[in-house]
Amino acid sequence: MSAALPTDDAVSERGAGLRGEWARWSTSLRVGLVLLVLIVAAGVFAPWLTPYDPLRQDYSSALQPPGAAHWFGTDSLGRDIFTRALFAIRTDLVIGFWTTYVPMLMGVLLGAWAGLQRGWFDTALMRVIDTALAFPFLVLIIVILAILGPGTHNIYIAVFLVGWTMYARLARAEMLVEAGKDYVLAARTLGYPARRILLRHALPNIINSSIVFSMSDFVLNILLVSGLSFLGLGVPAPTPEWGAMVAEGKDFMQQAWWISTLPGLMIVVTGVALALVGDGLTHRFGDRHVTGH
Amino acid sequence: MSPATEAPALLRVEDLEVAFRVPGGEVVASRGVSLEARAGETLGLVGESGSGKSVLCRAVLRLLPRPAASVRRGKILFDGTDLLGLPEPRMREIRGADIAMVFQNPMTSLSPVWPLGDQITEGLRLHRGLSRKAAREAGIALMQATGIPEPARRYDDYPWQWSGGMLQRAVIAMAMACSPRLLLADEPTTALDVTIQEQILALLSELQAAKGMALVLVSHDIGVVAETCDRIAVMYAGTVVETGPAAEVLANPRHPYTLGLMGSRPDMDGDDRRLRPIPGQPPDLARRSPGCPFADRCVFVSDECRTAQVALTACAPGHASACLFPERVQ
Amino acid sequence: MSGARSASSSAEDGVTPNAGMLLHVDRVRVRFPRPRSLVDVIARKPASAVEAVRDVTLAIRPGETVGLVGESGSGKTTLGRAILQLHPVAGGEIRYRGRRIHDADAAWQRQLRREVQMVFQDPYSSLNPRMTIAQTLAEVLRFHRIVPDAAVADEVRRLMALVGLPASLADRFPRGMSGGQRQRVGLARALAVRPSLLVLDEPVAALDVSIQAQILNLLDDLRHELGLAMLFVAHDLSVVRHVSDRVAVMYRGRIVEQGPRDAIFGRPAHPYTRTLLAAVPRVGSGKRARQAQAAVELATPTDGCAFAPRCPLAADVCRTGAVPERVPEPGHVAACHVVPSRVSSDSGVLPCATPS
Repeated sequence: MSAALPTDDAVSERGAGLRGEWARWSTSLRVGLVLLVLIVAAGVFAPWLTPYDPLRQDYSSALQPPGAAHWFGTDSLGRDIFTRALFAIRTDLVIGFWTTYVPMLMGVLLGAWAGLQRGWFDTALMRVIDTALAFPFLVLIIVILAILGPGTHNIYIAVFLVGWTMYARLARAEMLVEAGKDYVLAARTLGYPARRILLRHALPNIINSSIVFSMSDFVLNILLVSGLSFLGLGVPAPTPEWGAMVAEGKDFMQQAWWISTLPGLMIVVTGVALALVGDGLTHRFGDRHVTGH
Repeated sequence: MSPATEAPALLRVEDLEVAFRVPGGEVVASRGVSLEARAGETLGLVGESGSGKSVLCRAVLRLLPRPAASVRRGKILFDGTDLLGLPEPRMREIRGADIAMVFQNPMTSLSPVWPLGDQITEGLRLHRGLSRKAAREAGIALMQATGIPEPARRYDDYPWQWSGGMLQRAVIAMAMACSPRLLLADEPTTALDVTIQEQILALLSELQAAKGMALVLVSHDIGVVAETCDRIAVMYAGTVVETGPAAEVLANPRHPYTLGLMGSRPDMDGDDRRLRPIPGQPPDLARRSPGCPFADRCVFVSDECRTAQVALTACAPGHASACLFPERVQ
Repeated sequence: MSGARSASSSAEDGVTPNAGMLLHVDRVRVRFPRPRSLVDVIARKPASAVEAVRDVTLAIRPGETVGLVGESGSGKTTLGRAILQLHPVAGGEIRYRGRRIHDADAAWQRQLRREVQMVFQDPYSSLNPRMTIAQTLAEVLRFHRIVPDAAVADEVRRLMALVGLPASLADRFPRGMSGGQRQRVGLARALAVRPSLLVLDEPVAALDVSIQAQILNLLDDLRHELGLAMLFVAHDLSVVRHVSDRVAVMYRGRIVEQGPRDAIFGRPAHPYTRTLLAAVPRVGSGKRARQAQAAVELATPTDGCAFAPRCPLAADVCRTGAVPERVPEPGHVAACHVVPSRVSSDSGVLPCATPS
């Protein structure tokens, strides 16, 4: 139907700059971003948003249900859950950020290079990726943590070792398509070195799907850390972290449901915000870029 | 078989207007299109991208994408019945059986996961209720008729095993299966090599003559149209700008666009000369200005052209032009 | 053309070495190996390949336009790309100004990139969608240091004017531009390095006829203004006829006929060339009655002439052994058993069939 729809030159650019950008965003993207901004702000301004200290224990107010004094109630050690949930934003978002974007950078570069150059590097990389992806992600992380020991830094190491593989596969697939396009051939005929073609020409055009994927990866990584905390392999106590808080509340589900549930709700809200942003980005970039050509 | 110019038109399009909703507004892809195709005759639709020729074919078969596209005005009369008013089940009966279509790219016109024989005979089984066995025999006969060698052996082949030219023959066989009275061929040879194109065009002409059907051949290539069509309609920016007998229109064009199209082609026999391209850019269908749609690019333009209503008017028997000043066209 | 040719000393055949040639393609072969499965490797099956270009010899002189014409599978695009080193060459040599283009010297390679450039077919994928026109052109200028940094902006403007693009498009992305405009940008990009030879791979095939004509006229202007030599690869015979000084016809990886434009189009010798020319639809002859024929299945060519299965003049000798080159007139060569030589060269056995 290309003959029927207007040619590119008929559709005028609908306003440049920030104004035009905002106008092109879908509701999902706007809501998601606003939500994310609110969450981040809550984390940044946490000390000012609550009078309590997240670490201070007060046995006299232990296991209080949500009320006027404690909006989310207190846990078994008398700590205010609302405060801890807010401070946990810092922990979880920071961990989420590093465990997502460092592997993304590594994976995209490796995968794109393999897709561009092909040859032995590509074959070797693909075998490594296939092997890594043959195992369930969580199992691999646990094995690595069992060797290295628990702790935040070790979690980072474990995820860096394994998490790049999905991005590499994604970037490589996109690059295989892109490398066949004439503008990449033109860059080669002009004598541009492969490094330049990769970074300056091809990468900007294939990065979109990885960005969208990173949104869900972010959520999954938070859940990963939460899961590890649940197993006792996560962030060490008493640092507030949503997953750890959920774990602490598991023995009190009958009498103090709020200890697990409300931090769990924070995870859900953050996850929804990220998912909305990811969905919105899909539309903003045009589905073509994200779902394959 | 000479064109039956006295017979009533099998297909008659009257004042058709098709619009598409797009982000940012709408695009009128066809405007005031009127033309006729007769049994036993080949009508050529010539135009470049954006001319509306493909939209017209799809509109006839009611295959336009909904809800984006809508027919805002006009009639499409097939043997006297307005296709636009028919209920969808009735239209389905007509598609493939009375009116069939051949598309441009044979690689994508066929399903890659079905054997070719099954695809060719699907219409026969659906519209004519043939059994598998009877359909297979009919399919082999169809493949024979369209020049596919060793049809019995090839009946169960898959599309990836055949070349573009053979696939297009399969597509034609599929279209001809129920002996349609009208065949719409939308750029059927554009994706094929020139020697294969010659064969496919010959096949289409032969089938048309044998079955006495009406053939509408859409092409951007004037040479193709000149060698295969009895009458032609030249389209630009969604309207028909000139119609008439092929030989007549091409020898004495009466619209500046037709003249421009011919002047832009490098000639196989002519002498070395600069080509005379049509100045400017193809039209923006999202923006509609009054007057003749070709005014911005016309070398014979005058002020009147930008304001007056233009419509097809006869300038010679059977030959009509939408130009206000057809006598200027030299 | 086969190896026997290059030993000839005739100055009129157009492929003599060192006759001031810009580009000499000498008995070049390009092949694409078929991927082998693990089973094949273990079973020690020999690797097979698709021979895309077989034994092709072609020369281009400065300022000359050579049209390379053929249908799909002829190898014309592959040959064009091999000249730009986008495909490795499996046999033979390509020489530019007498020196092998595959010479690994870094300075020579850099120089080659400035002397030989390419214009691609698809206007919709030949430009980086994330770079503006000005950025694309400026990058070429800076990378190759064509002009000093301070002069880049002016040079970009000059290039755009050279190809007929309004300066207002400089900061636009390709997304908003038409096919014809994009092709002009591709042309500007290739011309930015000031090449002596331009390889054009179907540059107008994807464009509407009216835009095609604009681009062809532009190429004509540039040829005269810049003294460019061009290798114009296309399947559209009327376009090739319009632009070329000399024409080479390819079929299934080989050049079957080669010569001056008027000779090829006016007095085609090879049966394939004649078939091709006869198939081109023309205006003016009216509705043509044609015999519908069955499709011909094409097997992989083995020995003999690749065209023999389809050739109306094929004789037994055509299916076995090497195909000789015949010279029906000076400068015009056809690889066919059936064509008589009027200019003496190698002696070939003429079969009974004669061309009409």
